[in-house]
Amino acid sequence: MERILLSHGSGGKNSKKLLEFIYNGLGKIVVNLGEDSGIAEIQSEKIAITTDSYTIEPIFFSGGNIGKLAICGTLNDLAMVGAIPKYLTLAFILEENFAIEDLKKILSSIRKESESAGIKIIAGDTKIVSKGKLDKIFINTAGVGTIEHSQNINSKNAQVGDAIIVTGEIGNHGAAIMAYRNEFQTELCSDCASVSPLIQNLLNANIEIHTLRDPTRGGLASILNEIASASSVDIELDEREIPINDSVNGICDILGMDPLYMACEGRAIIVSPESEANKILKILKKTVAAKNAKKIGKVTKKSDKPRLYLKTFIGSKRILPLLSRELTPRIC
Amino acid sequence: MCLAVPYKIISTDDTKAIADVFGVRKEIDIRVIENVNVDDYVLVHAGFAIQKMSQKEAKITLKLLREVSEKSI
Amino acid sequence: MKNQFKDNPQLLPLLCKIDKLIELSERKGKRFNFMEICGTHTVSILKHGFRSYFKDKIKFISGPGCPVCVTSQKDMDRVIALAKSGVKIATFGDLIKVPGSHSSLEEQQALGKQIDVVYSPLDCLKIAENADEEVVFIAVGFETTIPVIASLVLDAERMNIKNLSILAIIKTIPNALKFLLANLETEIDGFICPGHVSVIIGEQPYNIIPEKYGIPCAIAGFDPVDIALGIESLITQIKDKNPIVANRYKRMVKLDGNPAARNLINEVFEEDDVDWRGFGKVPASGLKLRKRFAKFDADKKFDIKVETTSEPKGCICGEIIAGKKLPAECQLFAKKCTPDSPVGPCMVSFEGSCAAFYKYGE
Repeated sequence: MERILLSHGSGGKNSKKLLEFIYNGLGKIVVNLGEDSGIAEIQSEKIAITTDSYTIEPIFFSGGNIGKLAICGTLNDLAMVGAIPKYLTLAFILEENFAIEDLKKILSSIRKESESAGIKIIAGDTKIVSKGKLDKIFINTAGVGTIEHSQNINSKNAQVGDAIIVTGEIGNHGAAIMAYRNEFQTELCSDCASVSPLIQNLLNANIEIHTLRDPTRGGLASILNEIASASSVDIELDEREIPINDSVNGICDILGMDPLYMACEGRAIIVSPESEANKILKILKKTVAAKNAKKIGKVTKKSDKPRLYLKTFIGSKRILPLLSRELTPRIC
Repeated sequence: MCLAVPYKIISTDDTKAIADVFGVRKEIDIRVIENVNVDDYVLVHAGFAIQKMSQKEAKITLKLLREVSEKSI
Repeated sequence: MKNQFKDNPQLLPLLCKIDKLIELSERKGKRFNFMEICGTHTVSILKHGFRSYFKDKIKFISGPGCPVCVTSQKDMDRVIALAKSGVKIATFGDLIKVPGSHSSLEEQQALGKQIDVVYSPLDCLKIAENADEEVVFIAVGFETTIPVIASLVLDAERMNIKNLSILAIIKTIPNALKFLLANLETEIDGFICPGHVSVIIGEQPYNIIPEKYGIPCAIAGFDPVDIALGIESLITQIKDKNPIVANRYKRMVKLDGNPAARNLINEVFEEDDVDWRGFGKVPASGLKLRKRFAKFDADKKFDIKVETTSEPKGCICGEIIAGKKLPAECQLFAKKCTPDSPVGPCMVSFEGSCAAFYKYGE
């Protein structure tokens, strides 16, 4: 078995072979093997449920692959409501002719990320489509987590005076992908990672948190615009304080893109009372993954026309708008 | 109308060079630049070097910045 | 290495100094009208917050230096007609969303036409070598971009690539500037001259501006320090009543520009009268391929049939490009015309003044 064939999706012998291969690759994280439904054992008054689908070109990138991205993405979505991740579902849609060797690497990443998060895969599915019907591999997941805190964490809850904290350098994922697509050589890696442990550390220390978001598609500026809008507040960032890797700046300068709008896959935006800011930074910085955590701005006032502002290097204020279209490299 | 960024030359090979912007490397075309040496900075637009940066003039401009901002009117 | 032209402790003192110079100038109360010719300046001025910093003192007017914005509706229709004909299109990302009379490249891509976004025109060599079909590079740009387009043509000739051609929609700045100056309806107190075009053409082409029209000029780069030094120069020239062409970007712009790059341009292209959105036909303000390169000329290679061209109704992009009106004076602005559904090119282009004004909420 070297390549995915249509018969791997037929329900016959080959399907069984592929399933066994997948189970093998995932190891003990799979529970309820072979049943039509998985049964979750959950003791909690509140549970969090999320779903997402993953597609990325290239599927293997510096710092991760589509498998790692799918698991971390799901864990991060759960973490953004302060949930403790418990179960995942996992569905693959594979293009005919997809290399089994690549699938093996992807499964291995999924296993590693799931094991370190202590989650189980409770249900799954595999579909094969004929060549050209999709680009190599799509992964769909659902995540289930328990809520064991009693805080009201959501995008509508940003309060005037709150500090805006980011858990690390922004835009590394987006920039690493752009670098690959444009044939730049760089040591820059995607930041693809689970932020769940960071958030658990904060909740365990009884930190008051108003809003949590992961700045994926659209990057920091887009997600903060959403928070401003949902909470009807103005937010102001300080350009000087926003942690950006030099290589990310380099790639963005070359391609005419803006790091503030580049996707992250392993960062969280934390909106908390200013009085908690120092404690948060202290806890975050204990972990290598968040050593570059930074307070980057504040919620300034209630507003009918919520806006995100940037205090620039020259000390002037400008609006950071919501972009209406995808970023493409440009020459002017 | 034209984005261009200074790159540092890492190596040259006839009309091509490998150049670096903050650890990001890319092959660029240097056919219209004379006397390019390793460690020179060149201004690159769309993968094409359009001028060699004058370090001397860069220093003069920064000096001008200090003079203008400190000079009393 | 920290970029000292971006983040520099002297920058704020310089801005205070400019504030003082403005206060001392005789034009108290009345804003200076400065035109930045280059669209990248428009974006830098907004992005770094200069527009809001100087909002009561300087009115920045965007000039005709965004290649997307000045591309005529008819030329855009030709691009889309080519895409429809089934050739593979290679283009800068900038052009993808620009609406023609009936469609856009983005829409053609969605309909299954082959549209490749390239970072460098030279990437087209590889694309053509790997393609069985005809590849056409949509060559838009000013002097900064033309040397690399010329190199593409020369390399294609040397490598004997037969399935590659360019659609030349190339514009040059000096004669367009002369046209702009001869037709100015707004009083301009100073020009911020385009840094990267000047890298190629040098300082001399701007001399006519102070000499004939008495308007100060400053060639400036794009980092905050460069822009601030450019503004300082313009205001000092006004104060001293001594308009000149000041070069505040000397680390990149030589007096004579880059002659080797210009030789390359001249080898491949010759002057042509071309259409500018907002200006109409301007004599000798663009370039076409020389006869020797006819086989790389998409205009000659393909019979490009354009359906009827119609300018979008109510759109005043032309007047905005010519510096006659501001985006807010357009009845479509922020109503029918938004970045989500742009009517005119000034709303599409990243550096178009309408898009810039819309995004930054001014």
